[in-house]
Amino acid sequence: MKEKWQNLIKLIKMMVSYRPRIFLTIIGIVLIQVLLPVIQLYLSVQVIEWLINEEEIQTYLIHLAIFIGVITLLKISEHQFGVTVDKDTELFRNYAKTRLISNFVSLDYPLLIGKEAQEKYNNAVALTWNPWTLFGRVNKELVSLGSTFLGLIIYSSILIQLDSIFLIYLGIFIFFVTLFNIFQVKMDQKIYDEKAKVTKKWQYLRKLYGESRLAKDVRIFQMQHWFQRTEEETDQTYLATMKPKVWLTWSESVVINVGIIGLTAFSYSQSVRLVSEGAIPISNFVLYAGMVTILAQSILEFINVVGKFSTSLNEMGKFNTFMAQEPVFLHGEGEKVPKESLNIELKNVTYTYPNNEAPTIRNINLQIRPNEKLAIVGENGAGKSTLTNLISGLLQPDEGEILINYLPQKSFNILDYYSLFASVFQEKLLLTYTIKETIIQGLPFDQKKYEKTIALSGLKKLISQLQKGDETAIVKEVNADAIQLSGGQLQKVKLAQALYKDTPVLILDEPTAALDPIAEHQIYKDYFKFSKDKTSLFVSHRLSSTRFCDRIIYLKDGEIAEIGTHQELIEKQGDYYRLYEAQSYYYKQDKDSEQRERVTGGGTL
Amino acid sequence: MNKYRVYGRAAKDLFRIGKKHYLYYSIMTIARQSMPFIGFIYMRKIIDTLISNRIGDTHSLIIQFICTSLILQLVQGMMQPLVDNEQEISEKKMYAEASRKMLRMHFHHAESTAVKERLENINQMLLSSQSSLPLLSLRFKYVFPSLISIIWGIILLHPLFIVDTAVIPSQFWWVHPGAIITMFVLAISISLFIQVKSSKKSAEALSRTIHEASEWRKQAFYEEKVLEDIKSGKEIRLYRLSGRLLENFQKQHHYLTDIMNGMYRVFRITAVPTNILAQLMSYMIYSFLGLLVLLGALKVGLLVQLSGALSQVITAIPTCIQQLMMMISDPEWLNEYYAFMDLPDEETIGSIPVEKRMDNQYEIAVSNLAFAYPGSEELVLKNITEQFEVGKKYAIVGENGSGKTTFIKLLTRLYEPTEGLIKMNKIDSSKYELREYFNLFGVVFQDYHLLGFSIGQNISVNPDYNHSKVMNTLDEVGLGEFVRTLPKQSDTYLGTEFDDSGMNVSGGQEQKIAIARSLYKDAPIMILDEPTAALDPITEFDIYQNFDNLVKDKTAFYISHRLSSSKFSDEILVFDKGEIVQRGSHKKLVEQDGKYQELWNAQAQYYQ
Repeated sequence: MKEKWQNLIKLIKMMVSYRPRIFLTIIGIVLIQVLLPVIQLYLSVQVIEWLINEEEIQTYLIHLAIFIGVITLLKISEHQFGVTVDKDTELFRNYAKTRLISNFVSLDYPLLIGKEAQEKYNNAVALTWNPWTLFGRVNKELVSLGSTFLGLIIYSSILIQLDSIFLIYLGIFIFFVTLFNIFQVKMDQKIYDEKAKVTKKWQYLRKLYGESRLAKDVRIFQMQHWFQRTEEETDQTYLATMKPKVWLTWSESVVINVGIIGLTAFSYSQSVRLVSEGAIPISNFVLYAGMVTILAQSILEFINVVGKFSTSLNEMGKFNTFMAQEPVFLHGEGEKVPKESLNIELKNVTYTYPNNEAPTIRNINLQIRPNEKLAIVGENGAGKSTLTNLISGLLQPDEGEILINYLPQKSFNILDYYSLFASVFQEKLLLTYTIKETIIQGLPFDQKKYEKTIALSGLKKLISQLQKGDETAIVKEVNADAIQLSGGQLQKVKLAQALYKDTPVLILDEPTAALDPIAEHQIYKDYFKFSKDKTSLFVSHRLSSTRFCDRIIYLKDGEIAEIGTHQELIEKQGDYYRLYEAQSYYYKQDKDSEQRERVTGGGTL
Repeated sequence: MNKYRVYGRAAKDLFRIGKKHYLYYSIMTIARQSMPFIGFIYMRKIIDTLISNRIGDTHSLIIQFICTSLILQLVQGMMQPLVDNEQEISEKKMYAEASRKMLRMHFHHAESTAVKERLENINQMLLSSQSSLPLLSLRFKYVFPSLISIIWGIILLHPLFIVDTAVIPSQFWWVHPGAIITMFVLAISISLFIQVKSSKKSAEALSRTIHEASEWRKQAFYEEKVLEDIKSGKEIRLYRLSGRLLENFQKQHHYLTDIMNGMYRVFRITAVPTNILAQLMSYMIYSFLGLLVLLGALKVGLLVQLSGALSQVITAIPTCIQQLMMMISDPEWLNEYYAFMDLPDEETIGSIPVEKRMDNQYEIAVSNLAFAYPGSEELVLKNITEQFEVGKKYAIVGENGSGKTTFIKLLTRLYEPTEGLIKMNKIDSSKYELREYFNLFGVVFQDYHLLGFSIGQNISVNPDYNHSKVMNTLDEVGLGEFVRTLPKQSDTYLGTEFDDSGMNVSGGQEQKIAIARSLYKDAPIMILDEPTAALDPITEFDIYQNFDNLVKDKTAFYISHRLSSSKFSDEILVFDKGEIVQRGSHKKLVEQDGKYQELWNAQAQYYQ
């Protein structure tokens, strides 16, 4: 309960920070929505009254005009307020989305890793998707809450005049409505998970249909029938899941409708009795008859909205969970960042991914000398990328520490720390839309540095061939006139991006995976040019490249199994040697290649 | 396309997709919309009995009314959950229609970026365009109830025509029911005119702003998609992009605010005259009918019925017209949708069945093959004439962009040659029935994609599969042991995109499953495009060593950047700028001065 209150306060605070006047609008429309039906009902009552009493024609027309004039004003105000509510609803949802996504790009990276963290984010995002999710409907829910509650009070106080026993009937009715509402909420909770699973399946199928990468496979493997069957099965699962809810809704409908009819019968027969006794004028019959319908509707809507709003407050909690995460890195002032010649040391570093049982990096001790070229090799899943992520400060070690020039990583302001590293990642993501933007990213523009980078990265030729040069758009999804860079070209641009940042440490993660032999060769040739004055870490499967590094470390199950120069490791005849032999087997120019022993593979996936 | 024809087509499609939904909905709506009118009828009767003091009749009327209401309420209540369920299902179908087309359209359309963009566009606009199928369905649910109300209203209004006009004194001749109807029709027409004008204006304003916002929206959409991948966070932080991105988000929000303000301003202004007119009509109704009563030409009870019916009709007609106007205001989406849906499906120009052979004797030959992508002049393949022997292993090498993958797509008939022929067992391949021709090939493409369904289903490409055959195939690629350790074995789902119980496998394991898929198909011709790109050296080596075993007596084509693979092939085809410049065994080609030697040395030098 306490949590709900807290969530309510947080929700109100958020709405105020969006636009304080939103509450004035809500109050305004609530008042009008409550009063308007009553006044309109009174109009018909009065008209009948006037007609039965045979008023003067002129007086009738004048009174009528006044009445309708008031209604006109109220209707116009209602509409204006309604428009504002609609507008606020849409904009508030977008406001929440913006807040959410801004937090996502500013949070410390370790807070985003792992299944739990991903779920936190997904749950929060789901609240802003469309007009029927939390932030799309909470505004209208508040309006509904206010108007039905107020309406309840006003309308029932009118009807009680018929007979105070009405209060008891009303009480019984409200009891049953609430009871069924609770059942419905419980039922919704029960089938929520199943329903979400079905929706997930539908969304996935839809995604598959439009997946262009599948186009070839779909035809050659004739996958259409598979999809059709799966879709039909999912439809059936949905209907089966919803069956209990359908039955509950049917029973609810029967009980509630009988209840409403009961109240109506009561109201009608009571007023007829009072009319026949002469206690009330005939026109009042119309009043009471009309009021029952309005009251019943208000009750239904009120109970419904209370249930929905309670759910909304719970969902608000999910939003808070994501937004209120504490930083893990230092964001305040830290040690001064060294300018050149970094000495990097790892002391007993251990790291486990969230939700994993075994550590990915285990007790690593390593000293990286200034300007050293270090290669990191190992099998898939051995922890190579994790190691570089730890060194570059994206992840934090669970045990042990990382030292830069003998100062612990933790003591630096995290943004300062990041300025020491430039990585070329395996995933080539683009959040910048021209070549120039991609190279510069979020750094300030320096003409000299920029030109130097273009020359060094080999992009000069490509840029000169393009009509718009480096202002050419490269993301087709955003600019219709964008070009599609080939794998090799994109690699060069990403390399330029890293070079432009001009950091003491350069990290390359599988930089030649998608390249043909000639392009690969070019990268290796240039490697020394651009890593001249830098410390550089080179992660790769291709052992051809690692030979040229000063040292090579071989990671196995998260530990450094072997370390040394290429020659040293070959002489050791250990794991590195086996890996190298496996890869170079077919390249060796031995005349009697048939006599070469078959190297037994020993790797596990 | 003719405006009305396209909407007619939309109506047919909507009905096809959601037959049950619309049936239940109609029943429910008729029950619901009839209620107020039944109420008016009984109200009139009850008032008249009260005025003439026939209380006994009053009571029986009340009972009748109660029973009728109960029945209508119950019908509505029964239908509601059924309507909701069917709505979910049919809406889901509507959203997927365009995407589903991708599965059957002709391959060169499915691969074209232009077509993909069109699909993106159609899907993006699904929720915001006035003529999109889901929105049309939504608006229909405003139009239909209004129609019912209008019909009922007109029925309830008919007593106006049996008014005893003789009773009206001469100076009030203008209080004639005919005059009422005329004034009424006039007022509605004026209101309609204003509505139509303003609807047009607001629809125009809406589509103008949507077009202006389209670039922003595309960017926002794209960024949202990219940011879904947590890994994007690494680059954002290391390259200080957060500031820029935050600025972008703020700008987008401000832009949206401006658009909304502008749009709603139009709504605000147009509502005032409409409201005033509606109330004016209300005044006219009450005054005319009231006068008729005061003059003795109408009973009081009828006033309730008539005024009730008239006010319902007054709100129903504009709602109906307005919604219809909105529906047809912007047919752009529908036109684009149908242009997309009318793209040609996989053609079955060929019809000869492929002969079923047990001996895998399917011989391919290519003569004078040339190919340019549809819509482009540039030939990406030219002058290719080759004969391939059954059961031999061919390696295909060359630089990126030299035409290797395109050649494969032509062999498998995903594309048709621009010039020249591909022959299968001496017959032009395009003469064969397409589906049967596809069955000749087991392919692992470079950008293969495993689906979130179970391992067994992925391998067999079928919801049901032969367990032992799947396990055999898994053993052949070296995954058998691993799969046996899983609790659900080959029924384990891959990844959690489809089913939460799925598990993630490594890149190398994925590659092996993709290879298993091709093996399971047991097609006579195997094609592997960069099958070991994501594998570590040991696994890669394993695959190479076993390659012979895997493909046995099948004809095989093997594309790879790792030239080491070409050593165990029978022959190597070297592609350069769209042509096959060299062909022969590794021994022969590595001695020749040429492209192959260049490529080989570039890679091998590091391993000496």
